[in-house]
Amino acid sequence: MNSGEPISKPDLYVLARIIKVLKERKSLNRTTLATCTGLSYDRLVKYLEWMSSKGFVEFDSNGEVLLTNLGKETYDRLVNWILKYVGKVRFPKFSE
Amino acid sequence: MEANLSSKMEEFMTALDQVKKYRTLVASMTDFTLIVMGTIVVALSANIFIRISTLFRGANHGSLAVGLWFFIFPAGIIAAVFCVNRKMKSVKVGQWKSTLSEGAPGAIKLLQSLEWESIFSGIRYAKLGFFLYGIAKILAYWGLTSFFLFIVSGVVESVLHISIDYTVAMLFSLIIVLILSRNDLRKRYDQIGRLDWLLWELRWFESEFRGANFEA
Repeated sequence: MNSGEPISKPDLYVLARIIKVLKERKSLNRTTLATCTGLSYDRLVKYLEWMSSKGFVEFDSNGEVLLTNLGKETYDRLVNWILKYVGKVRFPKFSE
Repeated sequence: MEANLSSKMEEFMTALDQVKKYRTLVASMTDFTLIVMGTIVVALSANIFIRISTLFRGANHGSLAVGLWFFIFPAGIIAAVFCVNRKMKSVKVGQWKSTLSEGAPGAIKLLQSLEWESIFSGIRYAKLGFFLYGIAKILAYWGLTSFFLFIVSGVVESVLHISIDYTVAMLFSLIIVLILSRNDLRKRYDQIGRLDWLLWELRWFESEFRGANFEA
């Protein structure tokens, strides 16, 4: 099903998109998930393999992709992590 | 939490958009200078041409020469300021909004796509441009006011036979321009301070964010 090299360093943006869609839609088959995330099927499968190896997603008996609690926690941690840095920056207000 | 991130990122990107506008201001400084210089050259050429033709033809067109000065010089300065304002307004801002509407993934994408060195140099460049544009604007308005005072003093001299010291008139016109531009000068000073502030905040953010490591 999969071809090419496995993912060694995943793109955080792609990971976040996959998790966000799965958070909203609960479970999806790979083709629909690829459409929803705007990824090619092959690329999505690679990411799912990586995410599955980390325990972020699992597959049910129908082959549908499910987000695990660890996946949800990781997404929240990621958002918190970015917010921790961006939140500390005090942006000045510029007038026109 | 995600909404917080989006709103913070919106502040972030809005500040960067403003820097983009100020960069355009710097780029349009060349146009501004060229238009003002061109105006002076055209006005002087017209004046010289009319005075030379007066000399050869005998007819006195002095009032026409003054009239042309009166029209060309202010028109050039207004055109220069208008050109800069138009360029500033044509800067495309808010192009990040559709990406940010994706929520946290959009915020990540925006952060990944930032070119920090270009942002830092952009802020420094914007600061310089903001300062230079302020000076150029004051000088242009000073020239304009001096010009009007020159005409007024000419009228006063010919009607009331009172001679006016031009050095005093120039100084007087500078004082008038500085008084009239005080709000602009204050705003400019504040904005330069804010750009400095933004530069330091972003430098801190960049070093912290780059040094940090998210463990999945």
